[in-house]
Amino acid sequence: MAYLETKGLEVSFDGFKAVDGLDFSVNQGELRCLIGANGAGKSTTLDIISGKTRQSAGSILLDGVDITDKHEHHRARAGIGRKFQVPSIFSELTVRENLQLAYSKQTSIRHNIFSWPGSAGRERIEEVVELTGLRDRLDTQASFLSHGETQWLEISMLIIQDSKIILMDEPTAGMTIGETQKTAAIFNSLKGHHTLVVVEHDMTFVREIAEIITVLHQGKLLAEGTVGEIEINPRVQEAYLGSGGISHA
Amino acid sequence: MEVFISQIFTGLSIASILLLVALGLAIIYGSMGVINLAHGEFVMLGAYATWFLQQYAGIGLIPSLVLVFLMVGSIGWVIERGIVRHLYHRPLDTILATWGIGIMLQQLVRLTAGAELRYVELPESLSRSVDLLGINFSVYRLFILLVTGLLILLTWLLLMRTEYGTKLRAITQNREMAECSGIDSQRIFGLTFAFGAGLAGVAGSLVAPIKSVSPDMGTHYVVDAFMVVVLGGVGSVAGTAAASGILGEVTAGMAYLLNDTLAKVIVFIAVVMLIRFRPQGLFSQLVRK
Amino acid sequence: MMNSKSLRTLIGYTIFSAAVLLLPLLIDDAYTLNKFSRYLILGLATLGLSLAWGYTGILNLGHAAFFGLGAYCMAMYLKLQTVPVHTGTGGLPDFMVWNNVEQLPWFWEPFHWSYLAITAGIGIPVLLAVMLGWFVFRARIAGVFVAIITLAMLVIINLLLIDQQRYTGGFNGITDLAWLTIGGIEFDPYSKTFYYLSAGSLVVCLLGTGIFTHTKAGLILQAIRNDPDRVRFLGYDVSAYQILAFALSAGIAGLAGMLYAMVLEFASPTFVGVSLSLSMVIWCAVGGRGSLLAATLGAILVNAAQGSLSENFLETWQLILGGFFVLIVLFLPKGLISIGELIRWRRKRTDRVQVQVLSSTKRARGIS
Repeated sequence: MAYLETKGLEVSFDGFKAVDGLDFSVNQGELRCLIGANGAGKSTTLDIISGKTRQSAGSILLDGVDITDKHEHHRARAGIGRKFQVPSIFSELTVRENLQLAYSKQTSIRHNIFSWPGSAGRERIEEVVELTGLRDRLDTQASFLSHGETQWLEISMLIIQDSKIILMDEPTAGMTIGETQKTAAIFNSLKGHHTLVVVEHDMTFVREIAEIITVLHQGKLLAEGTVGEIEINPRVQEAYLGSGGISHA
Repeated sequence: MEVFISQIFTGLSIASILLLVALGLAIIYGSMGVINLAHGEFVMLGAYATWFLQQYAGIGLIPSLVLVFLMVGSIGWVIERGIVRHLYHRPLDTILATWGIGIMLQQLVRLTAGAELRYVELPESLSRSVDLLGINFSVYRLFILLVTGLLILLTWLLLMRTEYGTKLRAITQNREMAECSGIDSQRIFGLTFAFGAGLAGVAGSLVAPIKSVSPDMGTHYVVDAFMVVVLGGVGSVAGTAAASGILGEVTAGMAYLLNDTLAKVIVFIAVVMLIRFRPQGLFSQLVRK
Repeated sequence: MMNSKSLRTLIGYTIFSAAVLLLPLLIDDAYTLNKFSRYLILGLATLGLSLAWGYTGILNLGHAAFFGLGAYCMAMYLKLQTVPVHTGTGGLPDFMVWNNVEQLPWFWEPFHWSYLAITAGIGIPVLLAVMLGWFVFRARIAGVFVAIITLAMLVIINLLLIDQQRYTGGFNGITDLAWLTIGGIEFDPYSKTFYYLSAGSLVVCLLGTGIFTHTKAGLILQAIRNDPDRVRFLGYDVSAYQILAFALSAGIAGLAGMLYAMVLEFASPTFVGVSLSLSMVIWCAVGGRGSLLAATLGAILVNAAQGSLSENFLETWQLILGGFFVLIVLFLPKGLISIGELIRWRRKRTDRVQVQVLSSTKRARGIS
C-alpha cells in the first residue's frame, strides 16, 4: 500500500510543462532517491508535494488522505516535511530556538501563547542533536554555523518535526566528502522510522543510502528500480547520453 | 455633453499632474527597487526653484523648466551617491532613509525660504483660456498636458532607444550579469535617480502656478504618486501613464458626483483592493519566480 | 534556565519600570509632569509599533491610524461629558451645533458610557487590524506592499475624519474635553494621578509584551520575520500569527491614543497624520526596532529632547533630527541600543589587529 501517491501530477510555467502527468508512489519507511538531469522536474515535484507550487492537474494522497487542495501549513500538519536546496533555517535565531520551532506538534495560537518555547520536546531535541552532532552549537546563532552544520540543522529540524514523510532537496550540496559521509550515516539511521524522498545528484551518496531509485526525465517518470537495475537500464542511459552514463550525472 | 467633455478634460488635467510626479518615482522604483519617500520633496524643491528663479533672476516659467530639471536632478544625484546607494541590499530601509531626507529638505527650505506660501506667476500667453467646441479650456492646463506628453515620449525614447536605457534595463533584469558585461551599475543608478528627481522637479515647476507653494506640499503628492505606480505595475512607462489616466478620470468623476475628499477615499480603497488581488499592477504580466 | 540575554532584558525592564514609576518623586511641577506623561504615551504607541515591525517584520506605516482611532473614541466620550456646559440646544457637542446638526448621530450614542468608550478605544483599532490583517496577510502580501496598504489606510481614515466635519469636527477635531473620572478618581492631565495612569499603562504593556515575546508564540513571530515560508512548512499558520501581532500592536496604539487625547485635551486629524505615523517609525528605528524597550526609549528620548528645546530652535532641530535619523538607518540599523554591541565588536577587532601587527613586526625583526 503506497504511503505517498501522486496521480497524473502536472504543472506548467508559461506553457512549459515542468512536470507532465507524473504517477509516483513511495511506501512507508522507505528511503527513495529521485534523480534526473537538470530540468527533469525533481525539485518541482517536491515543490508540488509540499504545497510551495500549485499543480495545474492531478492529485496527491498521503496515507490515503487527499491533500491536493491544502495549503502548505496544512500539508505540514498532515505530515509532510520539506528541506530546501538552499538551506532554509532561521538565521537570526539560535540553533536551540530553531529546533524548538521545529517541534511543532502544537500549532495553534491559543496553545502557543501560553507555553514557553522550551516547555515541550526537550528530550526529542536532545536525541536529535546527539544524532546530528549539533549539541555544542545549541546556543550559537544559526547564521554563524558552517555550511555543513547549517544543512544538519535543517535536517535536525525535519527529524524533530517528526513528519510522516520528509522531502529533501540535495541535502549534500556543497558538503565536503567527510560531511557527506556523515550525512549518509544520519540518513541510514533514519531508514525504517521515517519515510524519505531525497533528490540528489551525487551518485556515490545515492548508492550509499538508496534502496529504490526513481528517474525523472522531462517531467515524466522514466524508470524505477534498484541502483543496479537503474545503472544498466537502456532508457536511462539514453536520457543521459553524452554525459557518459548516470554515474557522472 | 459639454459637462461630459469638460469632465474628461478635468480628469486629464489631474492625470497629467499625477503622471508628472509619478513618472520619476516609477522609474526609480521600477529599476532600482527604491521606495523614494523624498520624491514629494523633489517636487517641492522644483516649485521653490521656479519661484526663486522668477523672483530673484527674473527668469520666466518656460525657460526655467530646463534649469529646474538640472538643479533638482543634481540634488537627486548627490543624495543617491551619498546615501541611497548604501541601502540597495535593504530595500525596506530606503523607505526610512528617504523619509529622513525628505524631512531634512523640508526643513532646509523652511529655514531658508520661510514657511509662508509662495506664488509663481504665469506668463501672459499661458494665463488665458480658449474656447473650443463652445467649451472653455485653460491654456495653461493644455500646456501641462502637452509638456507631460513630451516628457513621456522623451523618457520612453531614453529608456528604449539609447545606450543608457539599454544598460539600465539590463541592470534591472540582472544586476550581476550586467556588471559582468562591463556595465557600471553605480553610475547608471546615480544617473537614474538624478533623472527621476529632475522629472519631479519639472512637475514642481509646472504645478507651482496653480497650487500654492509651501515646504510641506510634497507629502501630499508622494502618497498619490505611489498609488499610481502601484496601479500601473512596476517598470512600465506605459503602465504608469495609463494608471495616471485612470486615477485622474476616476478622481474627477467621483469628485463631480460626491466631493474631492470622498473621491480620493474611493480611489485609495480601489488601489488597496488592486494590490490585494493583483499585486503586479494592472499592466504587467505575472512571471515565474 | 536563563541565559545572559534574557537576564540583561530583565534588568533593563526592571530599571526602566522603576525609573518611570519613581519619577514623580523628583518632579513636583505639574507642567513638567504633564510633558513627561505625554512622552510616555508616545513611547507606549511606539512599543506597539515595535511589536508589529521589529518583532514580526510588518512595516506598518499607518500605525497612527490605530492611535488616532483610540484618541477619537476617548475624545467623543469626554466631549459628551462636557454637555451641557459647551453646548447649544438639545444636548449636542458645540461643533455639531455650529454645523447645524440637530440630533446626536447614532454612532455617538454608545460614547455616553465610559466603559463602552474605553472598550471601543481598544476594540475598534483591534477590529480594524484584524480585518485589514485578514485581508492582507491571507493573500501573503509582504514587504513594500504592506507599507503602501497601511499608508493608504491611514490616509483614508484621515480624509474621512476631515470630510465628515459635522460628526467629527473636521480639521479642528474634537476640542475642549472634560477630564476622565472613573470610580470617583479624576484624571486631571496635570496631576500625579494621570501620570501614574500613563506610566502604569506603559509598564504593564511593556511587561506584558515582554513576556509575550518570550512565549512560543513570540518565538514564532520572530521566525516569521526571518523567513515566513519556512514557518509555513513547519505547520504554523503564518497569517494567523501575523494578524495576532498586528492586532496586539493596534490595541496598544489604541490605548496610547486614548491617553493622548486625555493629556492634550483634544483629538484632531493630525493624530491620524502621515507625519506622526512616520515619526513613530523613526522613533522606533532610532531606539532599536528589534527591542521593545529600546523602541519605547527611542520615542521617549526623541520627544524629551524635542520638548526641552526652545520654540525658535525647533525648525533647526527637525533638520538635525532628519539627518540623525538618516545616519542611524545607514550605520546603526539596529538603533542606538546596538551601540554597545558595536563598540564591543570594534574593540575585539582592534585587539585582534594589534595582535596581528605585533606578531608581524616580531617576525619582521626575526624575533618570533
